[in-house]
Amino acid sequence: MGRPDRLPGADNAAPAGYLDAASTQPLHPAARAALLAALDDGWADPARLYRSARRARLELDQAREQVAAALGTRPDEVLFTISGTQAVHLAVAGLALGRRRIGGHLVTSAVEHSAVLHAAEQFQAGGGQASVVPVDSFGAVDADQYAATLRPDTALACLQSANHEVGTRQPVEAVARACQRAGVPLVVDAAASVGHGPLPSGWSVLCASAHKWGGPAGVGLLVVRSGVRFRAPGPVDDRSTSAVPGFENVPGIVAAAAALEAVVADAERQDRWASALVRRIRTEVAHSVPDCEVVGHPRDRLPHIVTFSCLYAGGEALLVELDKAGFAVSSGSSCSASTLEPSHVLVAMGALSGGNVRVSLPRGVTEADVDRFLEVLPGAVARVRADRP
Amino acid sequence: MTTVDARGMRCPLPVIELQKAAGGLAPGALLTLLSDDPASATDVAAWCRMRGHDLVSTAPAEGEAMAYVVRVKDSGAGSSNADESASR
Repeated sequence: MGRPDRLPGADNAAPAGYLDAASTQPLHPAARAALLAALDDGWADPARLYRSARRARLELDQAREQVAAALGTRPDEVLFTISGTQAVHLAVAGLALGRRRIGGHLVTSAVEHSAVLHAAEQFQAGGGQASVVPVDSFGAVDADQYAATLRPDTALACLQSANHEVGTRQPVEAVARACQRAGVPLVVDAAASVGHGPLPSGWSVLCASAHKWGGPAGVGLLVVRSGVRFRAPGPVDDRSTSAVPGFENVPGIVAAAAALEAVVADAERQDRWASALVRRIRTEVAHSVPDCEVVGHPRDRLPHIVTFSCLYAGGEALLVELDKAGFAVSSGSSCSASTLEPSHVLVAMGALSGGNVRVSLPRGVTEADVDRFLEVLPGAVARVRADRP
Repeated sequence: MTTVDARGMRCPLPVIELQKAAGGLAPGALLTLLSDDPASATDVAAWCRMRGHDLVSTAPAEGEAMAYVVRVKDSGAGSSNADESASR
């Protein structure tokens, strides 16, 4: 017998055929155990002073320490939000407010998550200016070009750690150095890459989302480095001085922290496994599917995401056909979205937007799953193409 | 010059119509696509790159539509793989 079909220790893995980890993953077993325990132990109001409240506070503080250790930051810099999207919205609004005397200009890349782009739109609606840094055909910004976009009145800059649709990593550290020289805080949206190798250094504010690494939905991370001029954009809250108002979701946060710790500890092994499978998909798809283009950087990329586009095929029709064959994937094609516009990421790259499929491997993915996907894909594409008038 | 009117059609139909029309044309022939699908702006250029055609020009046409002018490279027929150029 050769190597194992699945890495050992992948309990509560996604069901066979689930290849949409970049959207979300099932709860990590460490998160499940922590969640159940914290529902019983961490239910009380952590802002109160009695025994059960102190216990909830202790659980929350421990979770904060676990997250800080996993990310290489300080516990007092970690804020828990209700989602990655909320973390991004607060990051942009809080820096814009904290640095409003510096100026009303911000910088983003063309391929940020829609949460960043929507926050930038709101910034512009409030009178601000936004510069959008273009990307190359792999989806990466050029660090020098990004640096040249910074201005004396730039309040903040945003750059994802890696692209959520095509997996290409961004030159975050080079951009962060340029931002430091210019005195501009850099918001790094790390939602796609937390749990997949070391995070780039040099950011001022980091955003992430727990359900992407196997934590529960309803928990996001907003990490604000001390010394960064950040001001809570919303009304003040009696409960805390933090930018995030309201009663903390202690069990969810505890579960998110437990999953993060477990995932980071196992990341190297999982990523090596996923990389090998992704390399196979990239190579085989380019040969087994006619008129198909694999997109994203071939090497400088997230280990678990692979994206390709097929001429003469609709993205939605492909998703339906693959779903019939038992596979869950996603698409950036306009025909699979609620609008007529194709994915802004694919457009910015100049990649084919039609017939687009993103495959993202979850924790515990099996080689048999990838084998079967590669087996059914050429037929699925051919059927979709044949169905067209 | 051959013109394909794909107005009102949505992705991937404009590119399918373009491919059908290109199949009947001699190398070097010019082919115009009229399309009001926002996806065509990206996808016509990608089709040209993947199939070896040249995108000569892109210009606004009537209403919301754009006119894409393509110079056909080969017969455009068949569906041989784009091989090395398939990976980018």
